[in-house]
Amino acid sequence: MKGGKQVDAVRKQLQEWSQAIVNFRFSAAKHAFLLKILILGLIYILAFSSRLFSVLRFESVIHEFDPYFNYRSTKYLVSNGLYNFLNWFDDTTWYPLGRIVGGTIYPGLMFTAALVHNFLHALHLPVDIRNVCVLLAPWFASNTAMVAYFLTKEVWDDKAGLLAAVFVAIVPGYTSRSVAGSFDNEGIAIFALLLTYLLWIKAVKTGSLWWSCACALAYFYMVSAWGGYVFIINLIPLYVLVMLISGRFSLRLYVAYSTVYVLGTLLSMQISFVGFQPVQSSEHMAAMGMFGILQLYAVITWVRSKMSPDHFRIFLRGLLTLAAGLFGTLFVVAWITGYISPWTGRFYALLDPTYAKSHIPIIASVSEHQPTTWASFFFDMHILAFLVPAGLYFCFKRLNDATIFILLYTLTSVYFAGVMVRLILVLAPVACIIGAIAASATLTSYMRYVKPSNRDSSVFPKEIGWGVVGAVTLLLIFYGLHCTWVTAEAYSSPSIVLAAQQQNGNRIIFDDFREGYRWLAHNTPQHARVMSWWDYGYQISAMANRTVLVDNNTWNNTHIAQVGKAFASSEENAYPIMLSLDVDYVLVIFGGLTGYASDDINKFLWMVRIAGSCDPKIKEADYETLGEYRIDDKASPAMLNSLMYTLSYYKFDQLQIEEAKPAGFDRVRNAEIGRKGISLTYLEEAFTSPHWLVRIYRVLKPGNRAWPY
Amino acid sequence: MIRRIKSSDMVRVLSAFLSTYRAETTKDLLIIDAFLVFAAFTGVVVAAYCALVTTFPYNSFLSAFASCVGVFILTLCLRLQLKTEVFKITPERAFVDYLLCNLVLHLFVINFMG
Repeated sequence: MKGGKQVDAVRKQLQEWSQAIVNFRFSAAKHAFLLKILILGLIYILAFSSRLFSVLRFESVIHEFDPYFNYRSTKYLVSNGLYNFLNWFDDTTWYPLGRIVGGTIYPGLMFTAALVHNFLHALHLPVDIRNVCVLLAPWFASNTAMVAYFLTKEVWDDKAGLLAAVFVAIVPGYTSRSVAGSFDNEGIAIFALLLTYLLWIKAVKTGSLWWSCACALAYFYMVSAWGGYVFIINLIPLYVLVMLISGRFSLRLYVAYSTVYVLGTLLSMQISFVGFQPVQSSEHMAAMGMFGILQLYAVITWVRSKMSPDHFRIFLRGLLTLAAGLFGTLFVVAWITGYISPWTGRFYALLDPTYAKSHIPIIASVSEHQPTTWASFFFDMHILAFLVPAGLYFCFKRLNDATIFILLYTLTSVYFAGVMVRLILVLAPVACIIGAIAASATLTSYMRYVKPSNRDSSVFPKEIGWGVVGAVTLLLIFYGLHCTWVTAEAYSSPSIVLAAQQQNGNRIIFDDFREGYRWLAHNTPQHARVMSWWDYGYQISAMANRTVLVDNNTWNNTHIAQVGKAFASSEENAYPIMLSLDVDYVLVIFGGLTGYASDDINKFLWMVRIAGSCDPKIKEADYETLGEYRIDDKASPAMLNSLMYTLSYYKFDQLQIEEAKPAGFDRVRNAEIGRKGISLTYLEEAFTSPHWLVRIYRVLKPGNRAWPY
Repeated sequence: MIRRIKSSDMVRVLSAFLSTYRAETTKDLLIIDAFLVFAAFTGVVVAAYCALVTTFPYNSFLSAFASCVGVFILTLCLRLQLKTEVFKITPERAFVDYLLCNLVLHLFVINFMG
């Protein structure tokens, strides 16, 4: 019967399908691929979300000081367009000098943010520019984790790649500079750095012009993003030199380096801030020298294959004499005429760490430029601190083009990270990569005891395998816990908003900074000029929108010294300085009431030092008593009468914060102030924020007769 | 044994080298080599002008010199990729890469010329 047969056929088909669904198994390769995609997707989300603590706790706001300048520049770019941005002369900073912004910044960050903003707006998703700026760094951190996966895959294998990706996603050394709100160059520079290195390794491995060109374009992005591009342009020639010396010269290396150098140098000169430095400054001479040496080496190798040995000996001597003579004279002439400029102070301080303290106090005063402590290494890298040496061992065991590069990268980064705390940022990604290699190699070899394949004879008992795998897993779990804790507690503070816990467990928010800047924006004339220490310049420009005298760019040491001299002199002596600089308002940060330790009184000695570097009459010893820095009644007269002291403690003696302490007790210095009943002659108090963090004073204009009254 | 090199020695070595070279190279590689010599010659002329006459628009000099050096290096790399077996690249792919690199190079040369 036909109907019956059809029903049977259908039932049989259904049975087959249900069997297929129940017995569904991916092939091993597809299984692995799917798992990899899933893991990478989770890592992408993890990297982004673990940086959102400050947005959840406070709000979506730009942090710190430098990001405010980047934010203001991005706003200018978005509203005024590309050409106006590149030609921007900012007359509201460094009064009366102004600043040529277009030619003195690395525009990559602003371009990236503006591009994202315009792209989203083109899709009719009107995301505010502030939110784009706040969330750009976490998004780039996710991308960096992906690049780290591919990089480690090139160097070792994909299993190490996955570990490297998850390490990079949460390592504190990197999250410290890329949390949401930290809109700074490093956020995109680390992505560009790893991308350039990935493309470089691919270029050396394949010797193809396509990868070399891509590497040069990634290098161009890096140059536009951060001054640390000098690291790339010195590490790659160092790598080529090591390859030549160890006898690993190959034509692939030649093609890769020649193309990357020529294209890279031309591309890097497109950024106005870099200008002609790639052919003039000492920091780039290593790359040029290596280029010459590589050409010479390649010519010699080629000619040797075409000549008999004794002919070749004669040719070699002739060529070397000619080359040495020619380049020697060129180099000596260039050095003597000063065409090749010596190493700039910032980078010279990396080679000679004691240089900055004695010669350039501004560089020495930045807390990020101090040498790194052991505690910082562990805090910022946790298990990577001891996985790095293990990874070095594994790389030495398997020496090829890619692992030699990673070795050199690690060793140079470790040196620089030891010189300056800020450069742990450069060490963190490669520590993740090489630590992942160590962990992955260990896990791979011991998993073989746990689950031996047919080829292995399981000589070792399973317990050893389980033990080691368990120990490594425990370490990785601790790493995850530590990194999340560090990001949440130490690196998610917006600095512009402070929070503290009261004794009853309530949280109080100190929003004084923004209140102070907003007061300036609403209550002062448009062209008012504000004098403050250079730390707050960018924030005042961005939030208060008023003209400032000095800001964080610190390009003019003498101008800063003027401001320092004004703060270090008495009110009477500071007044002519303030008049000559056309100052209308003075802004001072005071932490004595709240216990905020980064206030201007704590920075005061640096003001004296910088002022003293330009005016020898100001001596640091005058402001200390017996070598000690004090603010109580035993403080020196110069200290008690200085403008900074006056403005910080004006009317502070009328406050009694706690029952047990006297009136005028400074919580930060833990002392009662030495000069009470301060009265102002040439200034008047304009604004003090609710917790006395921001104090703004108005400079009185000279009267007509017999002034001051 | 180190003895002074006479110029006649050098001439002998170079002429032997040239005859080996001419015997071994095929027609298409000879064309590439001629182009290389041309690019090198142009670079020398540009540098000589800069050194002897004026460096004045310095960015223009740099872009012209970079163009000569860049084209030289890229063509040399193309030649290596076509001739040597170290690279696992088909000639068509090598040529397309070469064109792409030249495009990027000349785009920025024109931008930098000013």
